[in-house]
Order: sequence, then C-alpha cells, then structure tokens
Amino acid sequence: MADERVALQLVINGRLVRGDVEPRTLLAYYLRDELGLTGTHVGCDTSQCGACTVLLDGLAVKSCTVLAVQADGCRVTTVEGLASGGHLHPVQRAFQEEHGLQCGFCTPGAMMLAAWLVEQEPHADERAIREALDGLICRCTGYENIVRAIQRAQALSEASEEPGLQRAEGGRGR
Amino acid sequence: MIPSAFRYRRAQTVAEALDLLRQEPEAKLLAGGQSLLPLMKLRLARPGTLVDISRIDELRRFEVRPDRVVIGAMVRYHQVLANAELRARLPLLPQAVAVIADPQVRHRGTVGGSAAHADPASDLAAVFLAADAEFVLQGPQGERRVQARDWFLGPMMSNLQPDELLCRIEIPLAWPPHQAYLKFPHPASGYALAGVAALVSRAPDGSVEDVKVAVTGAGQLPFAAQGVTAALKGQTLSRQLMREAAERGAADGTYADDGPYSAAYRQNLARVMIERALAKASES
Amino acid sequence: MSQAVLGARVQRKEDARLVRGRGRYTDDIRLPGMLYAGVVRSPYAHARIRAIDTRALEKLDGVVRVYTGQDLKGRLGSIPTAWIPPDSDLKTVEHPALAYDKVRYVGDGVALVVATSRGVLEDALEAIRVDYEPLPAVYDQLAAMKQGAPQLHQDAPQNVALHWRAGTDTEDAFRRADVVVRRTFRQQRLIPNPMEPRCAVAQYDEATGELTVWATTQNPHIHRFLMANILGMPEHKLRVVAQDVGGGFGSKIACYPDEVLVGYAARDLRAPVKWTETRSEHFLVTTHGRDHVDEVELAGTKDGRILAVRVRAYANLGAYLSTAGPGVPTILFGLIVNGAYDIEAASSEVYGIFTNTTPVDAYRGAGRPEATYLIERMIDSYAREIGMDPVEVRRRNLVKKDQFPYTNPFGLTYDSGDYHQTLDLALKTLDYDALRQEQAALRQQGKYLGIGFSTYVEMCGLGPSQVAGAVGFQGGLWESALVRVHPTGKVTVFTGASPHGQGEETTFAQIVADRLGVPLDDIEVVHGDTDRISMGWGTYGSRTTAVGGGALALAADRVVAKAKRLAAHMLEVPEAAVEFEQGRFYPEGDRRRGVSLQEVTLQAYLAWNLPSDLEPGLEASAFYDPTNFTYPFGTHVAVVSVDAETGEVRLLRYLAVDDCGPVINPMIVEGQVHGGVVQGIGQALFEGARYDQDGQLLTASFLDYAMPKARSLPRLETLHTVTPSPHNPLGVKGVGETGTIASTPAVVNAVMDALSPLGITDLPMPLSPPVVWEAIQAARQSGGVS
Repeated sequence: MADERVALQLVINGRLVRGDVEPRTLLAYYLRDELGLTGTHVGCDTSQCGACTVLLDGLAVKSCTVLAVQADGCRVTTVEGLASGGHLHPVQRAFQEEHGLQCGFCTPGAMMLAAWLVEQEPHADERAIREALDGLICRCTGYENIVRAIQRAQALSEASEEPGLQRAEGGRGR
Repeated sequence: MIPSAFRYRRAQTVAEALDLLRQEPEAKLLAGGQSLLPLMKLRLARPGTLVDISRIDELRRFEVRPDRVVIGAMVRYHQVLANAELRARLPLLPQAVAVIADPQVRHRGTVGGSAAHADPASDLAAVFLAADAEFVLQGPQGERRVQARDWFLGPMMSNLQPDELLCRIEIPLAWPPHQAYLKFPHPASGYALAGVAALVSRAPDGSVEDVKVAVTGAGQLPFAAQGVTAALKGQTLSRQLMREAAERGAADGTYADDGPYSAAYRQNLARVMIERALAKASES
Repeated sequence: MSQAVLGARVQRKEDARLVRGRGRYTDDIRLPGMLYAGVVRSPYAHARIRAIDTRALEKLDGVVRVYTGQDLKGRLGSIPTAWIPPDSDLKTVEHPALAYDKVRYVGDGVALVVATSRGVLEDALEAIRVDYEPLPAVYDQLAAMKQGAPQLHQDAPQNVALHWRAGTDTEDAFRRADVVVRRTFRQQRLIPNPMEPRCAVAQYDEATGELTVWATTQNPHIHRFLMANILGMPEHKLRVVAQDVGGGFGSKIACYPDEVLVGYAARDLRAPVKWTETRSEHFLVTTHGRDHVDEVELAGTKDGRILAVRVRAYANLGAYLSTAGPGVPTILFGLIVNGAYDIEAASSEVYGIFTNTTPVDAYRGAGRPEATYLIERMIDSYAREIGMDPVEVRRRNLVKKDQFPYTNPFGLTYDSGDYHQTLDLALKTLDYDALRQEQAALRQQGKYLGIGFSTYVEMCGLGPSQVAGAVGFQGGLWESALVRVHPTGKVTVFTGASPHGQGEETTFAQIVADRLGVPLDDIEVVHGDTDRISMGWGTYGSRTTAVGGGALALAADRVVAKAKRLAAHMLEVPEAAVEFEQGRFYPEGDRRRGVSLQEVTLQAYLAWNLPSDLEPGLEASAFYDPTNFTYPFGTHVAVVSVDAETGEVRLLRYLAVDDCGPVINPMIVEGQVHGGVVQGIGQALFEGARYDQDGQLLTASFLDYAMPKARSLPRLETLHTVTPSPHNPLGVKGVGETGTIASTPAVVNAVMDALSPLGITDLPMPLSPPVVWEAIQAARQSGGVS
C-alpha cells in the first residue's frame, strides 16, 4: 500500500508539470521537496497558520491541507510565480513598501492570500481585510503593516491596467 | 506531519463511489478534506483508502428552486457565497458560510463534507436545524432522506452510515428574509463557542407569526432552541421579550465544562447570542 | 548622502529575496542523500523508562538508524545552562540529549530515528513502543516546593533550582508608609511560536573532519561554543550557520538536544541529516516564556509618593535549566522591579523551581515584561487605593529629566531620558480629559470603557562583558564587526549579531553607508555563519543595533581613518588637513581637488605607492564592548471596552510613545513596535499555556492556544521622542522588546479601569471572555456594583 504511486499533471506557475506521488503527499511537500519550490512554507500541522497558502485555480488554499493528487489537473500559483516578466506583483511591491514583512516566513502565504483578496474584493475595507486575515498567523508584524500593504496593493492594482493575478497566471485568470 | 499511507481512488459517479466504499478496506470518502486531512496528518484518522468524490458532477449541482434550495454535497463554501439568488432567498446560509474558518478553508471545504463530519461546533449545523434541512443519501438500498433533527446523533457522528454517501442537502424556502446567523468564535480555533441561526416571520400586524432558532457550539450537540418559538409565537417583539425567549431557548441545550469555558459560561453565551441574533433577524 | 540615509525610511534589502519566495530557511536545504531525523517523545510528564521496543521498525523500509538514550549515554555531554547567577546556589542538574532513565516533561526525547523520507520517519516514530513507569508529576511551581511534592532531580531538594536576592533594605520605608498595597500576580506561561518551527541540517565532511550544522538560531557562535563541548569535537571543526531565520523571540537562543542529536547522527552515519520541528513539537519542546507567581508589596504615602517596593517571585524553570533560563527571572527581572520610578528602597527575592514542564527561557522581553507588569499594575492599584488618577501617580514618581544618570536601588544606572515628555505627548495625543469624560458618560449608560497606562523603562542592549561576568552570564556581551572595502569600492560587512527578521541587513547597511559615504546598494551585510564571522554573541535582549551597530560604526570609522592616511598621501597634504565628506576626501577648504573612497581603495589594494608605514588593503574590524546597558522608555496607552454580557474585551485604541534614541530607519522601528505591542496584547488577552493535573499541555496547538489575530486588533498608533544614549557611538537604545514590555500592563490596566465600577481589582491573564464574565458575575452577586 505504501508504495502505491499516483500519476498527476498540473500547471505550476504557468508550466506544465507531470509526475507521480505517493497518495499521502501533501501539496505543500510536493512543491517543496519534489519541485524545489521552497517559497511555500509549512508553519503548523493543524491547518491554522496559512504560511503554506498557494492559489489553486486562482483561489487561495492551504497547500498543507490539499493532497497533491487532489490538485491533479489544476493550476497552481506559488509565491515564485507571483511576479511575471521581471515585474513584481502589486502585492509584492506593497509588502515591501509598507514593511508588511519581518522574518518573511509567513510572507509567501500572506501575499498569496492578499493576491487573491485584492483580485476578488478589490475594494475590501479595513474590516474586511482583517477578517480575511483569519487565514493567517503572523508573529512579527502585529498585522498592522500587512493590512496597510494590502490597502496599498489595492491602490496599485487599481492604478495598473492589468489585474495582477491574471498577469501572474499567464492570462488564464478566472 | 504526514498522513499514514493510504490508497487513493477518484470516483466519477455516485455508483462508482458506493462500489469503492463497499470494496475497499477501511475506505473513507474525501470531499474538500478540510476536516479530514488535518485529522489524518495528526494520525487521528487513518483510512485504508480515500475515495475522492469531489469531482462527481451530480454532487456539484446547486439550484435555487421556487420552493427549496438544493445543494449538492460537493458544493464548496465559496460557491455558496457567490450565489446572488441565495443571498436574497435564504440569507441565513451565506451569512453562516461567510464566517466558517477562513477564506482558504472556504475555497476547499464543502457543504456536504461539513454535514457528514458533524462537528458539534459547525456553523452549518445551526442553519440545517433552524431551516429544517433535509439530507438525501444514497446507499446500497437506494435513496434515504433524513431530517436535520435526526441528523446529529453525537459529536462527530451523523446519521450517515459507513456504506452511504450524502448526495445533497435540500433546504425549504419557507421563511421571509428576516434571518441572521451570529457567531462568537473560539479565539484560537475559530469554531463557534456559540453560533446562532435565527429565522423570523412576522404577521401583518407585526407580531411574530413564527420563529425558529438553533444553536451550535455552545452545547454538547447543536440544538433547536424550541423555547424561543414557544416564548415568541404570536407575541409582539420587545427587548424584554427577546431576552426572556433567549433565556428559555438557551435552556434547551445541554452544556458541559470545557477548559476555561464553564457550562454556565457556555449557556450564558448561547443566551446572549440568541438574543442578539433575534434582534438582528427581526431588524433585517 | 549621510543626511539622506541615516534616519530614512529605506526599504529593506532582505525583502528583495523574501517577497520573491527566495528566502533561504533551514528547512529549504536539500542535500544529496539527505536523511530525515525525528525524536520519539515522552507522552508522560514524569516517568521511568523501562524498555524501548523497536522491533516494529524491521518491517518498515527506509529506517536507517535508531538511537536511544542508553545508546548515547556517555557519548554526548549534558546540555548545559549558560547563565549561573552569583549567590543563587544554582543546581546545575544533568540534562541528557536523550533521556536514558527518567523523562521529566511531556516531550522529553527518548530516542532518535533516522529515515530516508519524512513519511517513513513519521511511520517509524509511531511504531516504536516505549514502556514507561509513570511517576507522580508536578507542573505548578508553588506545588513543586511543598513537602512531599514529586522530586525531579536528586540534587535539587524541594525542586528549588535557585534562590537569589537583590536590592536594599525596605523595612524602614514600609514602617513609614501611609498605605501598603499587596498583590499576587500570576505571569502565565507563554509559548513563543515564531512562525518558522526550529530546524537543523547537519553534514559531516570525512575528508576534513568538519561538521556543518545549519540551524534556526539567534546566536550561531554560542551554539558552536556549546555544541562543540557537548559533541566532544574541536570548535574549529564545527561550523554553525543560521541562514534566514523565521523569527525567534528568544526561543531560538537556547541550545537544544535536537540540534545536537542531528549533528551527532550526521557524524555517526556519514550522511546529511535534517530534523524539522513540527508545530505540535514546538508547543511541547521549544522553550516557553514567563510563568511566575509574583508577590508584590508597595509602600506609599497618602499623597502619591512611592516609598518602597518589594517582590518575592516564584519562577517556573521547567524540567531542566535552559541556556539562559536561570538569568531571566533573576538578573533580567529582579534588578528593575522599580520600573521607571524613583523609589528609594526596593528588593527582590526569586526562587527558581523545577517542574515537570517544558523548560522556560527568554521570551521577547525576558524578565523585563514580568518586572514592568508588576510595577505598572501596582501603580494603578496604589492609585486606586489613595483615590488618585494613575497618571498623576506616575507623574509624581517617574524619574525626572534632571536625575540622569539615575542609579536605581539595585545599582543599575539608567542612562538618559525624559520620561515625562512621553507621558505628556501621550496625554495630548489622546485628549485624555475628553476621554475620561466619555468614560464617565458611558458609565452612566452601564457601558464599560477603560483607559490603561504603562510608563515603562527597559534595560537592554545587553553588554558590557564585565557586567555579564558579574551577573554570571557564561559569555561575553561585546560584539564584533568587520568592514571590508573591496578593490572596486564595494563593501562587505560582517557582524557577529544574528538578525532573524529585525531588518539589520538594512539598518546596518545604513550605518555603514552613512559612515563611508557609499551607496546602500554597494553594501552587503553578512551574518550568521561561524566560518565567515570570527566571533559574535548574537541577537537577543535588544542588543543588536546598540552593540552590533556600535561595533560596526567603530569598524567603519577605522576604515575611514586608514583611507584618510592614504588620501593625504595621494593629495599630497598632511593627514590633519584632509576632510572627509560624503565619500570623498578633500584638502582642507579646497573642494576642487579630491579623491573618492573608491579611488583611495583601489590604490590601497594596488599598493604601488603607499606611505611607508601603511599596509595594503582596506578593511577594519572592531570588537566593541559597551560601557553600560541602554534604557529605552516610553508611555503606552490602551483604551478598551468590555462587553459585560460575554466578557469580551475589545481594544478600541492603542497608542505607543517610545524613546529608543536616534532612529536609523523609522519604518523598521515602527514595525518592531507593532509586533512587540501585539505580542504583549497576546499575553494580556489571548495567550496562556495550560496544563492538566498530569502535566499534559492542554494548549498544544493553534486550535487551543490563541495567537493574536488581525481581526482582534485596532490600528496601532506610534509616536517617538528622541533622547540619545551616551553609552554607544550611535546613541541608540534598542526597540525590539519595548512593545512587549509595555503593552501587557497597559491593556490589563485598561480592563481593570473599565471594571472598576464593579469593584474588580485584579484578574489573572489572559483576560479571556470567560475570566472577565465570571468576575463580573461574581462582583454583581456580591453586590460590588458602585
């Protein structure tokens, strides 16, 4: 049983990836250990902290609570795929400009959640932003500058022609 | 943390899923996985086979009919939130779904998965009970229908049998939109310490024609707070009356001490949240 | 350049990699043939190990090796403490890396398993059967001191690990007092929870006999120092590297068994080995913080003058002495219990107690939050007792501007300050009088609004070494820096500090850019590698900028001094007639002629024409030992409302006015304040470890242990005053811990202020909804409503 492997095929950061995995392989570990995409971090084991957040078909999900086989046939965007063509995603710029990160460990998850939120609810107010951050535990920033960064990312996205996420996903946004 | 090894089977139809459930040793159904996978990672659950039913089309149907909402078991929470018609016809449901866990969980978790998991602090449990949801199951003997009041048999124990599959949930559209779901979350887990679903219908003279309230999280099991209905039916709402009704409604639950949350505190929280949910529903 | 770079909101250099997901954390390391290690941990708080059965592993493919405590006994040294407070009768008990006879807390390691994959490793950890004989356990320090309590260590009767006293005689002051206020405060146990769990990867090079350990540490050189001894290997053959470290908050100071075990296994198996802590493990085995019972007495006059304060503290140290464990509740706590107040007499007495719990060590603030909490809570209690506004009591007792340097009753010399200025700024910003009026109006409506203050002082910038020696810290507290200007004028800076999220790759570059007049982008800051940095003491105690930055400033000045000699030679003027400004050397009063640092550097390396007494090359190092601690201070204010029906406390406003001396990067300083404040709020309202009677940790995951979340917090307001410290070249004071130190009492004072109409005077933290609600119920029943 332990040696059963399942084939899977997915598009990760715009690239087609084929492989096979033990069914118990979590998407987070598939990305980190098999594909070397170590930007996605694992911060807990009870699906609370959100450090492992990636986009699955454009939606923020915790990759520690998705089996790699469940992502078969899906598009996955990780922090490594957020920037495109050498340009940082508005969320990346905003986190940098507003000092929305300190140790950087929860940051990939925070940014992926923020990228989804800015795309999904471009006008979310501070209350809504703080509620969306239910899916994130950050120990460094007190969330203050994460909230400010998301607000800045909203402004940056609005100012730019292209919606950031679609650009990051190679134009295949939902 | 990594689950113990298992076999993975993806079912394309309900019939196939039922076959796999029967054939595979220690098989368990996998929906969104937001409750099951954490348990498996901690090795508190160790199925021999996971039967992934999340891609069965039949289970992903979601319709708002004139008399009822039909939610396929594999409809994900965020899809519930996106349905504009539902917001108008059964606002209680999206209100509850909007406060389940966090955005990432709402993108994966399914309505049916939550129902089958039967967590006694599940937000949806209060909605199912208050709105008289009906659970439609398929098993070796064919279809079976279970009313919400018969669904929650115990903590983490629903009426679903090991060889059955929950196909859909039907919720009658019997209430005007005076509806509210209010939640007092646990500060760590986010689960409801008290979650209250309230439905109110008013007669033309403004008095209460009918009212239903259900509570999740606070008691040992989710419960319908029938005392509220008894106290308010036919009455004209007032602060004082709602307070008394909440007191009676909260008394319908069975409470236990749990760490820092004493039974008395939990019952108080149920009472306060019932009162606030009633106020919100009647004002909506 | 200099005006622009020092004090500027410069974006962080480290962010360029971190926002791209290109950080290099320890768990990101993958080496060819790397094995995965895990520790079998005791499920009992206290038990004798009867037998360990590993037979089930024979059926598992991919298990490489199992080591038990018996296997390693005698092969590894005891895990030591590095802080032995003088005159404390400290019992330095044995702490084996793996328990071989007795386990002493839930999580104590009994075996190490090495396997080929994470999955197999976890299967193996589960398959090992350990036969334990459970023993009675004790988790509370007061219970542990009682006659007949379970004994943890033979050498520590009554479980007393240390007994320490400091201060002056207070009897006379208490005799003269109009008022004596007595309180007992419980500082609940906290779990640090940096978002990156601990991790270690070790690789042994057979050719050279060198062992490299990449580890999540705040102080790689201290780890090397201790681990070389434990592993029994020469220090120069051991390399410890901290790459990007995802937060520490004190929990990555200690030298733990796990990192040592990974090093041992890699050397023994001749294969790279990785151990990554799970979050569940973190809750059980990474050091916890706080956990005091503090009995406090304050003597004062009717008109608000504090005469004396004395404290008896019972500190839970856990099952073993952690690296800095004994120093935290003594030196870092007991010497500053008078806080920011001019009090003539004060004394502390501290018992450190062993219990069957996770070892306790530094957690952000480390001792100073405990001290600040008790004095700030006592100020409010005293104010209420004498019917005076707590702000007025503070005003009358704060050390005054003209009293600096101020020597407190414990002999600490507070460097500089204007404490009243931060208080006045806070009051003005808040419009305090209006707020009090609003509070009175709301009380009329039966609503509970509270305003809480904390006028704190902190001792930090840990150094000098002479003091380290005097207080029993088994290390130095100086810091090293090396500034190397490369032939092209680019600069590499090596620091012995070990930042892990605080942003010193940026602030240190700012310091050097300011001193050398080179662009920020031309400066690289290197830290965290014992092979690249000669020696250093790491990052903790808000020492990095004051001490590490001080070293850097000195080293940079030495570079300039040498370059100046060469510049004089090149410009053919006497050295005394050379001026240096914004990266260029000029003959005095002549701006037309001049050479850039870059040009001088090239000549220094070419060495074709140097003054006869000048060596080639351009770099300088400094080992800087400060003359004293630094003492940042400030006023924090919390405004809260309490929902009497649910007991929920809502933070409506939070204002921090801090003075940490000159600010190098305001953006980073604000970030430090935000994070610190929220950690302190966490202690006040949300966080707290709970054990059951058997010593099982009940709050062992994020499902039970409440971390502060974004939705529970208000916008944080930050303001600053600037009072330089005379004790270091930059005048800076450290800001990493101020928020945590200040905010806990501010919030609790606010809640007590809100509940004061009910006659509630004190409640145990965290002030969770049930705690507050039950207190309100009890107060109402006893007719305490006024």
